[in-house]
Amino acid sequence: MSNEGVLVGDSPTIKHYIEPREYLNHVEESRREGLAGGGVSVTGGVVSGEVASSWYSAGCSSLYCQVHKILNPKTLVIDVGSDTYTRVDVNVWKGLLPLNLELNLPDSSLRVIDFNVKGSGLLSAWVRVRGGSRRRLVLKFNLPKGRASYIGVSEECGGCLGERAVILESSRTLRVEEFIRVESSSFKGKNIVIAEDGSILDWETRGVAGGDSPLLHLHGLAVSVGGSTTALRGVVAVDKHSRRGSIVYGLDSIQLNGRSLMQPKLEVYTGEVEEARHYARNVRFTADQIFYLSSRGLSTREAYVLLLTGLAKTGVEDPGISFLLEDVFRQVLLKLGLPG
Amino acid sequence: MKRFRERGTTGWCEDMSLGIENITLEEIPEVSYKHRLEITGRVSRSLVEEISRVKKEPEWMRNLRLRALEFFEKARTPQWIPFIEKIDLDEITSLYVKPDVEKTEKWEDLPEEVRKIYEKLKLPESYARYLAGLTSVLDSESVFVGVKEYLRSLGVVMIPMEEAVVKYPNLVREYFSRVFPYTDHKFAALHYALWSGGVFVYVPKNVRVAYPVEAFFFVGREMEGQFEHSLIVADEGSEIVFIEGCSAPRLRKESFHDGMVEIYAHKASKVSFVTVQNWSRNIVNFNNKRAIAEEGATVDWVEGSIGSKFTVTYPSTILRGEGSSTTSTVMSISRGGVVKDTGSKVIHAAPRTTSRVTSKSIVADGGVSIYRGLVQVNKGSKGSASYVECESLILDEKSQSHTYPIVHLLEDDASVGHEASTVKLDEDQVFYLMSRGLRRNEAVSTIIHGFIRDVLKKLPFEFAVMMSRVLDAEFGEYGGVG
Repeated sequence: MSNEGVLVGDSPTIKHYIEPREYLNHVEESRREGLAGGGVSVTGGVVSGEVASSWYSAGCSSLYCQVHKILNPKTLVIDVGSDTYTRVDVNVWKGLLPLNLELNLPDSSLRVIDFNVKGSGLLSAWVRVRGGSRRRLVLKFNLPKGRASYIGVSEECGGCLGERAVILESSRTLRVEEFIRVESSSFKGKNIVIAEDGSILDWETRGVAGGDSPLLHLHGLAVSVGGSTTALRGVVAVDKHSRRGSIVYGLDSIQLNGRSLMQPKLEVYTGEVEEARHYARNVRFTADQIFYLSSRGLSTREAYVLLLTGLAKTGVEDPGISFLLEDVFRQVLLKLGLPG
Repeated sequence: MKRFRERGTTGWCEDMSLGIENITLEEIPEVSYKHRLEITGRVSRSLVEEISRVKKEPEWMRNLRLRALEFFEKARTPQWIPFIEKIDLDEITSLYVKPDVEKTEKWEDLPEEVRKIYEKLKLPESYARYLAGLTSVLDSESVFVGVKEYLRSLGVVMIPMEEAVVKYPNLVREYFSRVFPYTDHKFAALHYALWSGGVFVYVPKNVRVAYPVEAFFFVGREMEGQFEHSLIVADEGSEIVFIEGCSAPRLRKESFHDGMVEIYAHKASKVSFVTVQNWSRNIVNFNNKRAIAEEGATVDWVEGSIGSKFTVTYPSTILRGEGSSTTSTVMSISRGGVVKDTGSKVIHAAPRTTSRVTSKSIVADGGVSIYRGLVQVNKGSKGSASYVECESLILDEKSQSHTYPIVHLLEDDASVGHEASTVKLDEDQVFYLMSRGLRRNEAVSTIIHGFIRDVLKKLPFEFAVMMSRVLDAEFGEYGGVG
């Protein structure tokens, strides 16, 4: 599923995103191969049950989400343990694995949940986060080369103060849909997505802020490496009856020989809004910046890492999440290889 | 002769009095004048052929219309356009209206009732004072075409579009529908099938036109369609400023405007295109505007969107030549249920190209403001830079403001930034200003002027004065009400 060949020309109407019909073909091919075995194993948490799924987000209307509904997977309920770190291994060696995961957070402590996808089969997964009225959460996803896949993430934050970061590394065509609803509460999110090996990573967010004084601040950082394409897009809206809301939707992109597509849409249905702003920009480092840091004793590589990890922390308030993001992002960058 | 001096990004003639401030801000009451010919009915092959026959067009143009019609019939209505379901093209019954007026170069030759309309709009005065050329389109045909000796002596061609099709077939064929093909969308195809009126401007090599030229469009009746086509070709090293004015009387039912502007800016040329859109509140306004800029060329758009019931317009530039640049300054006012879907699109298709988009919108009384923009940097457009800035001011709870930017970066050696914000009327600021002795409406007016100041600074002085008056007229009473 490559978008090479459609990027020529200068018509404003060219489309660069994943073609849903191609995804359908992948689903059909994978179904013919059968359901993937291996399933899910959890370390640091407990699978407390398996329930029928009926909790899809109201915004679940895309073809990807509809396909996921038709596949009708059961929901695995994972009670996250007292440890900071929970590892969820998802085995999709071949074929198709439809999966719903419900994460129950016990308290407000910082939690890191690491999803490791193994195998090259098609994954169609939904992750729902519940509990933890003052949740602090880092979700890590790692998807190796393989069939095009789909991940949905939903967060509902009513009367809570939440902060969440996602760091997602993918070498396959991947569509992610994120649904966030904030009702008279506060939610801050940071999504770092890294597309590698010529893949396409298409992340769409739908965020709604409602009620009294809601706060919804979403920041994204896309890194496209080696001919890959990242697309960060979505709509963040303030409800008609919301009052004194604050919404921020900001996207940064770093292109390391890759393509970047950004669409941060903002919808404001009321004049009773405290703050509503968005931005999108690509980040390039100048020779002056590198020279300055070099003159302070840093190597070129260290200078790049310092600047890039600074971006990873933009929009993150919680020191624990900030430290974790910096650390994980640094490791990813070093693995990818940087100038110098 | 007055001195020509570049100013800012608009390349404006600073010390000329443009007189745009003379444009009437109020809606013109109902007008009445005779019509010679009217083609009515649904959009069909026979109707399109009839328009082409009446215009005595060459076969290539007739065929182009028919191909466009075919595309129009097949193309899907773009569903992303807000309130598109409320637009019923079948309600627009008059698709070609020729007024009973002979085209003239002298105002006094126009019938009295038509002349009075233009006098109310102060067009004769503007033409006399500062314009090098003026084409005035009434309904579907040009009725006044004035080209001053100054413009003729420079070798500039400025004639009605249908005349150009006959007089300069090779030139028109080379550029017509090249910048904005009918295959782009349904309403572009509709335009090409039904186009009538408009102006063709050709500026020869290295000619710098020191005085602006203007095309003015007037829709006189309800349930009428206007589909004018303007084509501007600036040859190498040339410069021109083009003003587009639009107006309509107060109508009881809707009328439909689906105009098009194509600009081809050759190497090192500079085209500034200024729109003062002041349609009455019954006009559904689709305005397709696109430019191609070759090496080192500059295209500047200024879009002042004041009137209409519903406007969709995104001035766009394709930066095809190395080192070409574009600016787009968009200002829109949406009040009382008016929907303004405006923005700007830029395709960076060559190295070292630059663009800057500034958009300011004010919404009140249930108005809806939408910014829809695109910045695309194609592969190979190394060293390109773009910056987009848009702000909306919402004056009450009933109004809405949406921003839909698209950034496509297919080249990693480029710098692109977009930022936007929506702010409400700050009651603390109003209170502070009232505590200094201002009445509420004065305080609100001061805040609005402050909000729009950044854009006004970029506009030619006279345009800024006019916009300032529009703001006072539109929102002067708002403070008192709110």
